[in-house]
Amino acid sequence: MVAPQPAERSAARFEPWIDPNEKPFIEIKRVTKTFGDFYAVDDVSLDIYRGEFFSLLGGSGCGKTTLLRLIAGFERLTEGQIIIDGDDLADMPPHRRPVNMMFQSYALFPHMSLARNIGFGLRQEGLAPLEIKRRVGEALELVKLGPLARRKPHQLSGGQRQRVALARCLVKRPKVLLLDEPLAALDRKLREETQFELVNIQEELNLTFVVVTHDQGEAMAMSTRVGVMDEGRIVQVGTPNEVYEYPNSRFVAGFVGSVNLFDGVLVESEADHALVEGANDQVRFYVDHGVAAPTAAPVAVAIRPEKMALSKDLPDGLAEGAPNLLKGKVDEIAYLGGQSIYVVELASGQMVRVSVPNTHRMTELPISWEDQVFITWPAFAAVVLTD
Amino acid sequence: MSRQSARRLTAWLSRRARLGVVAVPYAWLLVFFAAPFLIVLKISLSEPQFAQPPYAPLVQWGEDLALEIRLNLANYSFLTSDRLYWVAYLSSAKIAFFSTLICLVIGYPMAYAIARADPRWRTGLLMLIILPFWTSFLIRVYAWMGLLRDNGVINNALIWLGVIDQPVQMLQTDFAVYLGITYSYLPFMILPLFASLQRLDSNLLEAAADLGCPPWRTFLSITLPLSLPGIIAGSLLVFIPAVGEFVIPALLGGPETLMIGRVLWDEFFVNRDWPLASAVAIAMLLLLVLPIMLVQWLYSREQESDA
Repeated sequence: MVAPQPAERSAARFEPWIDPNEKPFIEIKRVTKTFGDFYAVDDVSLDIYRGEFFSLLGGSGCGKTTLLRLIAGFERLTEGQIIIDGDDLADMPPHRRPVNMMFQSYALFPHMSLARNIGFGLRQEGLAPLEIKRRVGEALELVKLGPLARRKPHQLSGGQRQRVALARCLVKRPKVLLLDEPLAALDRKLREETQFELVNIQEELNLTFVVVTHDQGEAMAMSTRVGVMDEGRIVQVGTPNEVYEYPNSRFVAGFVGSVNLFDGVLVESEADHALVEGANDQVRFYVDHGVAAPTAAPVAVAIRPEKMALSKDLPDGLAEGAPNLLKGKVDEIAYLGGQSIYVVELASGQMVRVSVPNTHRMTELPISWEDQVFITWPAFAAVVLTD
Repeated sequence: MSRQSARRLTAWLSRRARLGVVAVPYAWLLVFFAAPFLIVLKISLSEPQFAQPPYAPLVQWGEDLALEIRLNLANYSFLTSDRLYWVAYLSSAKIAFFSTLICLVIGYPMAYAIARADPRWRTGLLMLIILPFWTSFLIRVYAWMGLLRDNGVINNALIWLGVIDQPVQMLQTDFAVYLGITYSYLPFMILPLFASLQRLDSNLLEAAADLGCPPWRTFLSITLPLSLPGIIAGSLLVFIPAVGEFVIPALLGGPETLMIGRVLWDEFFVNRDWPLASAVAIAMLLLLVLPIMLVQWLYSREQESDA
């Protein structure tokens, strides 16, 4: 697949990774970490820039937390290099590293009050008590916990604890803040609010965040860029938009959002378009961009459910057998309020998910179970995956 | 029977059952702790006499059928008048205190190592700590006598190695008493310490390091305060029985090793002064329990003020 050409960027947009003169702030160079003969992190190279909100996204056991712990210094590198702001961290113990980590469990010290928890890192720096008091006060203000300064962690709610953990890191003014599943322990409503709060704090203080998460929605909502990990490797790095619209593999397409995948063979591969012959259902996929593969190559076509349209009748100007057209029978309908998901069964038995926005108030569904339907999609919608 | 009354019956039964579960240990404590304690208290308030039993009854019917209660506090006032008892109490407390300290210093690293050990090894290591209990306590103390004697294993080995040419007297010294108490009570220190150290979340130590705290300071500011309940529990479990210890000073200690347990024994079995011996026992109990209750009270008040 040809990488998308960046549209014209305005100077206001924050995209240091496309500037070849920009120096990365965190350089992860060919990092490998093994536990016995298990490769937790396998030859990962990654550049993260100053001021980024970078998410490591992946399922459990993909190595994202191990990579974070390598940056923090809790695990020793098996191979490779981690450089932050020009300093090689290889032999630096965790207490000397210019990074701070917010733990998934928050790891607040249970025997200390909030103020003492937040001041802990400053006391290690040997600052004057008055200075510590002032900065702790500021941090408490920032996370809106001022009145609770004397409480102990067990007297706080989950959301308050999360903010204390954040304040305890921020007060150190680290070069890089590492966050391990920062929102996982919060309930859904609080999680959405906190997402925005985190981004605001990160932008306001102009910090570099590296966040580990398994929640693709969270990663998409907050990040400047996302690194998708699988089995210890980084499989794709890009902006949320790139990763969603131009996944480079079946894994990424399936992991980030939901997707319909069709097997096929590339029959035309030109610079400005490509045609894929589907393996089943006599379907042909026409895409309006070039594909970096020769004809006759086996490929997969990925189409997002929201980019497909559903109709009971054959759309105007289309004949059966036209490209970008499928026929099937409605098997299931899920009404989700804002949208409805239709699951359509093709002749081959493959199920296709189509999501339809409910822009009108509906009392009766225009398309019902067991209806014969046609599925269409525009030429830009499909992504051809050679991997 | 209606369904409602059946439900009421099961509720009543489950309440009874809960009560029953609690009642058994309480009954046990009542019969085997509170009752003997009251008997000892009673004897301590009576007068000694040459009879069977060797003390006068506390309550008896007078000649005119009046109920006579004779409380005799002379035993207690005698305790304060004779220096022997004070010296014995203080010396017991001193020996118990330093033994507890030695147990703590030896036991803490051991408990820490076991708590941090690979889980596959942990059970085995704990078994090794508990293993000595499979042998009788008395036999183990006798074994120490065999080791520490002038012609015992240690002296013979040192002479054979040429380190010394005369046997060093170890048996019947305070050193042997410390050794015996430390050896016997070490597991009681290690087990509660292990329990509290094992509960310690390793993330907390990582968080401390992450915030710039070097390892030794992490130990002082995180590990140590969070294992304080284990330290207190272990220290009480060693200190309390060590104060009243009789067998170890009797077998390993010398004639000048003065401990309250031996004084008590002498009053009972040598002087046959049961009331005085009981007074010694009651006084020891009070001297032990009151400070501990005070500490507990202060500790719980501090916990509450946090809440």
